[in-house]
Order: sequence, then C-alpha cells, then structure tokens
Amino acid sequence: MIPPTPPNERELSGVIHRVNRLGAASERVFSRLYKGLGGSSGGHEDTTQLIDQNRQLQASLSQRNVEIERLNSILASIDEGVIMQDNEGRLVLVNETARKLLGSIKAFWQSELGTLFNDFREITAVDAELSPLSEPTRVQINNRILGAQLAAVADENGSRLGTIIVLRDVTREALSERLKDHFITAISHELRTPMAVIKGVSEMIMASNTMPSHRLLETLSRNVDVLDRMIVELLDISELSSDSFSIRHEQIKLDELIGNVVNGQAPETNRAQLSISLLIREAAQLVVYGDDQRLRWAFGHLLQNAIRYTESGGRITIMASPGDEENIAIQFIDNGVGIIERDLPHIFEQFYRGEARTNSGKLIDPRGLGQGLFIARRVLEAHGGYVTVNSMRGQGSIFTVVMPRA
Amino acid sequence: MTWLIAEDEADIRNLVAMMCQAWGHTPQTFESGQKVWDWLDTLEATHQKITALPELVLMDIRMPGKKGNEVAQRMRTLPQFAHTPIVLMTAYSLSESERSAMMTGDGVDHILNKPLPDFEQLRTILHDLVMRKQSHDSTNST
Repeated sequence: MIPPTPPNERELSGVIHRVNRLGAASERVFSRLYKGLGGSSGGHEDTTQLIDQNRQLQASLSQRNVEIERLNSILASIDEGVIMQDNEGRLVLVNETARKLLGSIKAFWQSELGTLFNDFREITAVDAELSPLSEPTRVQINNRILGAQLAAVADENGSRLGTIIVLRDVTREALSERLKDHFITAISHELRTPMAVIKGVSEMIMASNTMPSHRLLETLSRNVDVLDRMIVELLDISELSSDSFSIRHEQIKLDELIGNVVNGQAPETNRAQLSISLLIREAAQLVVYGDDQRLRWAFGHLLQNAIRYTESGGRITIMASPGDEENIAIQFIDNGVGIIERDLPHIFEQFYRGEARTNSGKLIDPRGLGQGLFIARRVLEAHGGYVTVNSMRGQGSIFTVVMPRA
Repeated sequence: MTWLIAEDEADIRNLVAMMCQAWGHTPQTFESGQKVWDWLDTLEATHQKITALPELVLMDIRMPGKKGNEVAQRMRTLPQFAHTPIVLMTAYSLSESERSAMMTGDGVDHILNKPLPDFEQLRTILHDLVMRKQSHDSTNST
C-alpha cells in the first residue's frame, strides 16, 4: 500500500474534527434507529456493535489527536529548527524555532535550503526510517549562519515519506572560527617579520669579511627581543584561555603599580608624541589583592591600546580613585580615534581585531598580536573585577576598570 | 645605481637598504606606499628630469596608504618606469588569482615571499631580473 502523504497540521485537525462530527451524527442516527426498531432482536445486536465500533473509533482518534499535540509541542519547544517537506517538496511542518531562524518562509525558498530538497528528489527508498542525505551544510540566511542537516523520513518498509531539515544557529561558532583564522594569519605575519630581519642580518654578517657594525648587531638583538616578547604573549594567551588559569593573591598598591606601568611605556608615549597625566585620589585606599605581574600586564595593555589609537599631539589621562566602599575605579581616557559602533561590542573578545581609522580615514594597522584587550579583560575578571568601554568614532575612548578593594 | 625601496617595517627597510649598499647600489628608501605615490606626483607635476631614476623598484605589498601593487600599476603608466624591473615582497600567502592579477594587471615582474631568500640568493634573483629586463629592452629597441 502506498502510504498517504503526511497532511499538515491544520488539514489534519480539520479532518479529525469532521470525522468526530460524522461519528457523533452517526451515533445519533443509530440511536434513533435503535429506539425506532426496539424489539427487533437481530437489529439490536447489530446496532450495539456499530455503536461500540464507533466509540472505539472516536477513542483512537482522540488518542491520535493527543499524540499529534504532544509531538507538536515537543517540536515547538526544541532548540533546533525542524522543517518537513513531503515528496513533492511542499512544506508540511515548520516549527517555531525554524520560523524564528529563517525570519520568514519566503527566506526558506530564496535560500539554498529551498533547493536542497531537489538535490535528493530521486531517492525514493532508504535503509532506515530516518537517514541523513548529505553532510551537514552551512547556509547564510536572515543575517545568520545556519547549520542544516537534511534527512529522508521513511516508513517501516523503507519507502520515503518526505524530507526533514534540522536547522541550528551556528553564527557564533562560524564567526569565532573566522576570527581564529584571521588571528593565525596575523600571527604568522608578525612572527615572520622579526624572523626575516634576524635571518637577513645574520646572513649579511656572514657574507661580509669585516666585523659587523654596531647597528647591525643592535638590529639583530632588538628583533630577537621582539620575537621573544611575542612568544611569551602567545604562551600567556593560551594560559589565559585554559581552565587552569589562576592568579596570586598579594596585597598590591595600585598607585605604585600604575605609576610603574606609565613609566615603563614612557618611550612609546614620547615616540607617539602624546602627553600623559596620572591623577590619583586617596592613594592609601587604592589597595587590592591580586597578582602583581598580571595586573601590570592588564594595565599595560590598556595604556598601550590608548597610545596606539591616539594620533600624535593627543592626550591620555589615567584616573584612579576609590569608587565606593567596596570598589576602586581606574579610568584610561584618551582623545584618540575612538571605536566604531560595529567593533564596540566585540573588542574584548579573543582573536577579535577592530578596524580603527584615523580621523582622516587612514586605516590604523597596529603591529603585534592584537590580544591586549582580551588579556586585560581576562586578568581583571580573574581578580573579581571587570572592564568596560565608552567610545565613539573620532571622540576618543574611556576604558573603565572596576576592582574590589582589599 | 639607485634602487627604490618601499617598506613600512623599519627594520626590514634598513636591512634591504644595507644589502643594497653591500651590493654596491644606492638605496632610495620610502616608509610607505603613500610616500612613493607623493614622490611620483611631484615627478609628474614638475616634469622633472631626474638623472638617477631607480634601476630597480622593490616594494612591500601591504603598506599604509597605498599598497605596493597599486604603486606598481601607476608606475607602469609613466614613461620613466615603463621598463623598470618592479619586485614586490609579501609575508602573506597570495592566491593564484591575486598573484596573476599583480603580474599581468599591475605590471609586476617578480613577487618575493618573506622571509626573504638568502642574501646571496636574493642578490642573484634581483640582478638576474635587472639583466633580463635590460637585454629584453635592447632587443626590443633594435
């Protein structure tokens, strides 16, 4: 027997309703007949039998109805989008999640999903009741990236009843993969540059017969340092991302620590022709429990970020004060290029690099691994604190750090 | 002979300039593609007869302002640079289509991957290119 095409929800309930009505009507007819024919023994038995059958039919119909309801509510509540198509490609079922993911049914037909069905139209017999038809694919729809798995639905004899597509929102995963790829490209470039210099300079030294000049040796040693710093940073990043990341708990005077960070970066600040001021209020109150080296590192990255994204002649202000009874607030304020709206929600994410431009529109291409803000965030979170940003393109940025007081 | 070197990474620029001196040439260095572009502007505007036009152009691809291949493309529109050997350097891997777009579209003669080849190897590559372009030109003109 050829299995019927699965009807859609509305059709099905319509049919069930009509069968119920028919059942009720026929019961009335038969009960009237029974009354009218009362006395005829043979007729009596037939009628009772019919009424019994009718009851059974009604019971199994309502049972079926309950099952469909249950199935529908399961489909409605699951996180995956589920779409069913019959053998002609008509949409039989689109659950709530699928509707949300797609935005509209129109989007389904306009996307690759709409044509997926056609690719496997010819397959009429399958091994199992649910067999995947292809490798999971990724489709861009409704500003999302959806993972789609197509499977054939069959009855117990293996004849195909239709197709089911299960959808999952993989936008985040896809983006983080993309970020990772970018990061690896950037890293290989950053590592290659000092390598190229080290290699080139040493070859030049070997090729010449005279003693190498001071300048050559200085270039060599500086680039070894650059390479070394980068490798240390890479190790730190991998440590930060691991679950075992832990910090020391010592009493630290933040005013001293920040002062050291500012002094340490004085050469870079001067080179960038920036003026920097440090405003400390109630220094005696600015004490935290934490990891001296890590905090130096976190604040160093916040300062470095301000230096890199502020054009020459600009100003950087660092303010530290006890925010309230429990917390300390440290702000890094610059009048630099600011952060565009698109980058703003992501700048603290791992591997993310924004696209900053100068006010004249030139793309700023900072060297390094570009992981400073992520590192700062992770370190501060490990100290029970956090960092937020307030910025507008061309208007400078304010990074605010809040840390619990010791 | 003058060699034009455009590279935004100071250490690489100095390194290449030093190599160039070691091979007996005079480096003319630029710290960005934009600086070369500006130099070409003055060259065009003043119809300057520069006696020491570079004999070879060596530029990084990714530089702030103008990229190496954009500068190369412009150079090829100027009669002074119609036959100058142009070599680009990059630390990024280029796709085959990007590569051929630069070689045929932008008129680039050679693309070097960073890290750059050995000192001696690089000398051979660059000098062979200069020789090849010169002999090619003289065959063309006769």
